[in-house]
Amino acid sequence: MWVPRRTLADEGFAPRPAYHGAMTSDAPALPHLVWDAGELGCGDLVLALRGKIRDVPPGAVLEVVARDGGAAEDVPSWCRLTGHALVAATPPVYRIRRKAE
Amino acid sequence: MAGKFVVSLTFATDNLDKATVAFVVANGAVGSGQETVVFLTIEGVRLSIQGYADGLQEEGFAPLKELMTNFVGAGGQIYVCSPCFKKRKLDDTKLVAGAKIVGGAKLIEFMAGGCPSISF
Repeated sequence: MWVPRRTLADEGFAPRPAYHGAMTSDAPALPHLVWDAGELGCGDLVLALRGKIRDVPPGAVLEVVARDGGAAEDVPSWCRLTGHALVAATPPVYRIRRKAE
Repeated sequence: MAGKFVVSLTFATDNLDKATVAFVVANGAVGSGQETVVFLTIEGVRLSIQGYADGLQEEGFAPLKELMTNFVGAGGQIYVCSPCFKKRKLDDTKLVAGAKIVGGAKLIEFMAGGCPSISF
């Protein structure tokens, strides 16, 4: 006797959109502002970043150019800590969407 | 994801490298949205006096006074070890902005609920 194969939906799991890790975006990630952080790094970079993200409205994107050797690790960490979304990361260029207040 | 963070600093001009990096890390913490305290203790308490950090700059870093001013300006707090301050006969009317003299209980209260820290 043929038994139809059960799917995940039969088990109550709804289909989900594709997972893109930390880099999620619901809208085009065109920058509202571009900021060249130069060689700033470590605490100097993230403290300046804290101020600079406030120069874009909630939901808008800040593009950061950061050439410090630690920035490729620090910028994603800073985004996870602060709740802002890293929508693109191609070192030394990072696009960060400011979270809603 | 606001949390707490403590940077403990025991040096001043006797190790400007450590004093400087302590505030660089503290600025990283406060810049990342953490409720951050720099705990100045032992020789580190001298940094709490107005004018002491003027002109101090470790090679390769921003001037110490600028790092401290930026830290406080971003909402960071500076706790100054009371017995260390008293032992050195420093002037409590000359504290830099954002600094307060505290006993152990104040620090313990801040950290007791669970708080990462790093020491210099």
